[in-house]
This record gives sequence, structure tokens and C-alpha cells, in this order.
Amino acid sequence: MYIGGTRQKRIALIVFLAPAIFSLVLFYILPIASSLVLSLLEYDPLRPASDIKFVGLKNFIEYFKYQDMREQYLHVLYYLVLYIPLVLVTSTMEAVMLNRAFKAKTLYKVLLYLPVITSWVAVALIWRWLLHGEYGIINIFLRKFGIQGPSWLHNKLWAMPGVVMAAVWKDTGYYALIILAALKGIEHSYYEAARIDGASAFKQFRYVTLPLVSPTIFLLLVINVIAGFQVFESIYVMTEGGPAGATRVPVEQVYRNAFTYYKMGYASAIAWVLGIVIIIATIIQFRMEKLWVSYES
Amino acid sequence: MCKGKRIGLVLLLVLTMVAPLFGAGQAEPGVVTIRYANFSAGEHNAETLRKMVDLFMAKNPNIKVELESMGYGDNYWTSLITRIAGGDAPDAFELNMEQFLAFTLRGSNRPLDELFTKTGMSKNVFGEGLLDAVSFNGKVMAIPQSFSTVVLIYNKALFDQAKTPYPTADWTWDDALEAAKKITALGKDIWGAYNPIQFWEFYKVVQQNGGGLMTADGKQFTINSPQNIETLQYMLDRVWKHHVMPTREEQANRPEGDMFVDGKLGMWLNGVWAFTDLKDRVTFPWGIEMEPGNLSKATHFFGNVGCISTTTKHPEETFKFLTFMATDPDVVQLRLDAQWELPTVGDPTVMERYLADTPPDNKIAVLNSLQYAVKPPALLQFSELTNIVNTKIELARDGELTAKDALDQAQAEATEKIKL
Repeated sequence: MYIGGTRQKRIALIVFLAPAIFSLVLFYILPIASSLVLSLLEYDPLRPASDIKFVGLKNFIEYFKYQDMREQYLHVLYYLVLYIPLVLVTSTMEAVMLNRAFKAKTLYKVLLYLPVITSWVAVALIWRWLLHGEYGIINIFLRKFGIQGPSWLHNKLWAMPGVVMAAVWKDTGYYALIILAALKGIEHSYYEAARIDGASAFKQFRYVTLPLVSPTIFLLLVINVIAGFQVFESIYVMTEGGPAGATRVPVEQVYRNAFTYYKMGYASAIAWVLGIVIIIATIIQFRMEKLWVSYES
Repeated sequence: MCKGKRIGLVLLLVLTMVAPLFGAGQAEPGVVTIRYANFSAGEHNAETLRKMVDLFMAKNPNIKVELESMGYGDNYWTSLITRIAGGDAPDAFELNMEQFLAFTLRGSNRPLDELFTKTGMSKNVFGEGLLDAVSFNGKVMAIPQSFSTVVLIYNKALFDQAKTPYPTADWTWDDALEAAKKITALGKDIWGAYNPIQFWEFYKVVQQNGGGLMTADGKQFTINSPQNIETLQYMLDRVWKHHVMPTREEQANRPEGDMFVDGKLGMWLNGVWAFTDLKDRVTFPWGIEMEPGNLSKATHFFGNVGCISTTTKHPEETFKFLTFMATDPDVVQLRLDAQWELPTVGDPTVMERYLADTPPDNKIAVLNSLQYAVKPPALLQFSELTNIVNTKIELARDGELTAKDALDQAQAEATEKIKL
């Protein structure tokens, strides 16, 4: 690594970076590296170290062979397909709304941000009731329109949309804040020019706002795909992977294999496959970036 | 700042950071410190546990016990496993029966027979069958600390209203079903029985019907045997055919315990731990009986055991502590007073005190159930088996698979994934 400047400056740099590098190496790089080694081993944490066996790619082969992997990724895709468009639309709408001047705006900002800081355990408790098949407020609302709602979290097909609804409700405020920051950065003169040209409110949104916040939305998309593949907490507290395995996802399987089945090697292999899948998904997104993201300069 | 001062300051900073490292682990000479990781006290019995340990330390001034208490839900297993893997196992740790088998099969805890001989501790102190329950390959692998059994708890008022005789010890499935039908007929949202449809219930109920999950030699699974299919069908029929038990929709997130307390359940299977709560909350007369069987009886038995780590430096002191916690008369009394499950001593006078404490009457059913206690299969991959079978049973419960298809699929998947 080349560091310019005087000797003193270089020492200062190293001293200031040291704590960050130290924790990066200790808590990220080393565990990642050791999980790669682990994924090639048969390692049961409760057994003596002498029982650790090198098994090559056996863990990966087993994971590919069983039905489980295909199922988990189908579930995660189901989640992504529902969650990402929904959360991007709701957070953009919320941001556009908050970007206007109206009474008690701060109060709304606080209220809309509250779900973000609420713990998932509490959110799950509330949403399990909201989604209840018989007495849940969502189904009562649907019944007003003559629709008999499903027993959300108890239904194989509807459990995931149930989790998605709770997740969208919880996460919208956070992403809205990021989009709001981007909206604030748009110069007012653009809108003035558009108005002079006779653009309607919708056209202003479509041809001024949207292109100018597209880099932010792209960022959110990338972040969300990465986070979505790693979805765990919400599912763990809302359905525990059920009903009958309908919401099992890769990270939940990592946890289960490591700490319930005591198969650290196999769990590491699942984690590595997931890591590679996420890298590929991210590369694809960056490739597609130029198709729809516009940068100002 | 001059150079000397600066170096001094840095040294001081470093010292304050590493100082705590030297503080720990220092003890008075001649005193041995042992660490006990435990979960079953939880918040509810933390005070009682503290008192028990204080008693031990008062009588054994040369041994200091450090309690490492966590709740069952606080990732107790995750943290314990991580510590054992990291070479920092506590000297003694508490396990439930399911985890006891998993840990013992993996060699995390040491056999105790030698320590029994060395310390002159008698094995006869423990209640009949309890040391067998913690034996593996002929060796005692843990000290049973407490146990509980599951019994049939019933609402006498509903039985009276339905003009049905109370359950007896020799009841079978059919007797229970007949009574359940009559009670269900009493009104809307009144249910005859509640028996969960999941793996833990299944592996017990199949044994009431002459079935089992594996062949006697443990070399093959028999998950989809005709008896087992018949058993699962019976469990499903209670909900879908006879409708004496609520569907999940009808149950509507209500805990079964609350339904029983509200007088909506005729019969409910639960452990003796429920008694304290029922005594406080139930306003109608209620009773208990052994769980009905079919061809034979089979009951659930839950126990919490104390294990000694293979890596401890103080096996004798740890052994002394664990046996004290299970058998000392004062400790036993504390446990009984707190109604914290049942003590594991065989002394009949201790049990007499327990039996005399009513309601419910007929507490002897609690002890009699122990005769029919079934153990989960000792398998390295037991948790995986649980998951495989449970997933399929849930599909059958929700009407997505027939009993036969569910068990056929479970058999195939278990055979593929689990090494026997």
C-alpha cells in the first residue's frame, strides 16, 4: 500500500486507521476466511477437535443434491419479487409526500420512522394479530369488500406475502429518508423550467424527479437485493420457517444447520453459496445500471 | 508534552485496558471455583436456585460456585455450544433430555461411575429408573436434577355437564374420544380434547399403538409403518372427522392453557409444571389422570440433568456440587416449596409431601406415568429427524398431504439424509 506525505503523516495515518483495520480483520476477514476453510470440513462443535475431518467439496455437493437448496432459493426469490417493488414504491411515495410543506410534518416524519426503530420481535407480535385469518384487521377489512382473506401465516402460499407486508411496513420509513435526502438535492430551477414548459405534476415527477433520484433508487435496489437474500430475522420471529417449511430461506438454514444440527461445515457451505449468489446478483444489477439510471453530469 | 510524559500516558492507558485481565481468576488459596451454566431456573426460580447454591457453599467453604444462568429462550444452547467448541466449557452444565442425548453422543460430558465410587456417593438415593434414563452404553452420564411427567388434565365440570364418567388409569383412545365427543356437543367453542399434531406428540403416540420410528436394532427407519399411518390418521381424525379438537383457525392463536382455564377444553395434556398456574387461575373443579393409551401406554417424560464437562479441572468438586443440588434434603425442600418440577430423590417421605399437596387430587398419576415414559431415539442427527418428520406432519395437519403420503415422504427423506 502506498501512502504519500511525510513519515510523520504516514505514521499518523496508520495509527488512525489501525482500530478500524484491526476490527475489520478480526470480525470480518478472519471469520470469512475461516468459514471458507470450515466449509471444506466436517466439523461438529460439540465433538473433540480430533474428530474434524477434511471432506473436500462434499458439503457443497450435498447441498446441491438435496431438494432443500432449490426450495430455499425459490422462497427467497418469492420474497424479493414481492418486497423490493413494494418497498421502493412505498418509500418513494412517502418521500415525495414528506418533501412537501404541510402542517405537523415533523410529527409525521417521527411516526413514519417509528417502525424502523421498533424491534422485530414486537413487530412480529403485532403483525401476527393483524394477519390473523379470523380476527385479523386485514381480513376484516377485506371482508368489507366481499373478499375472504387467507389465514396468512398459516397458509403455505400466503405466509411469505404476510412477512413481506410486515417488512415493508417496518422498512419504508428508513428508505424514505434516504430518498428524501435525494429529493432535497434536486435544484428547484428544474421544476420551474418544467412548469414553464407546461409539464403536469405527473410529468414533472416522471421526467424530472424520477431520473434525478434514480441513482439513489439504484443504490437502494442493490442494498435491498443483498439484504433480501439474507432475510432472516423477520422470518425467524414471524414463522420460524413454517408453515411446513414454506418460508425456509438460506440464512435460516445456516443458523439451523450450525446450531441445531451441529453441522458447522455444511452451514458454512450454505453461507458461501449464498455469498456467491449475492455477488452474481449484484454484478448483474451493475451491468443493467446504465439502462435506467441517469447521472446528472 | 514532553516525550517521557507521553510514553507514561500511553503506558497508563494500556494498563487500564488490560488490568481487568489480571483481576479475574484470582481466588483465595485452597478455594476451588467451579462454573455452572443453567437454564431451567429461568427468572421464575432464579431466587430458589441462588438459595440452593448458597446452601452448598455454606456447607462446602472450599468450593465457590459461579452461576451462569440464562433463560431457555435466551440462546442458551447456542452460547453453550459455542463455549464448548471454543474450549471454554463451564465445569458443569444443565441440559434437558433431548440435548442430553445430543451432547452425550458427541462426548461433551464425562461418565460419572468412577466419581460415584471415588466419593462414596450411593446410586440408590435417586428415584427408580432415573439413573437409567441418564445412562448411555451402560454408563451414568449425568446427575438428574429434576423431572416432570405429562398427564391428562381434565375439567370435571364439563364432564359432569356431559354426564360422562371421569377418566381412569386404564382409559384407551376410544374412551377418550367418546368422552370428547360428548363434551364437544355441549356448545359452540367447547372442545373435548386438545392434543397437538406435531413430531413430539407423534413419536409418543405411535408407541401407544405398537409403533415406533426405528427398528429395534436401530438400523432402519419405520416412520411409515402401517401402525404409524393409523396413528397419524387417528390424530388427524380428532380434528377433521370427529371435530372434538379445534382447527388452527378455530383456536385463533389462543394458548391451550388459556382455553382450559376459560372452561373451553374438556381434556388437555400437559406437564406437572402447569399445576401451580392452574391452582391460581382455575375456578372449576379439575383433576388429573394418566394419559390414555391404545395397545399400550406411553407417556412423555421431561428431565433436566447436570453434566460434567470432559475438560473440567475439578471433576470431584463439580460432582459433589451436582449431587448436592439433586439430593440434599434442604435443597429438595426448596424445590418442593417452589413447585419447581419434581426432585429426583427416591425417598418416599419426600414424595408423600408432594402427593399430599392438592389440588389436583390423584397426584399419584404423576409418578405412575413415569413407568411408561418413552425416550426419544438416540441419534446423532436427531434434530434433523425432528425437522424432517415435523414438516411432513404439519402438511398433513393442514390437509395438504394424506397421513400415508406424509409419512412415506418423511421415511424417504429421513433414509436419504440421516446416517444410521
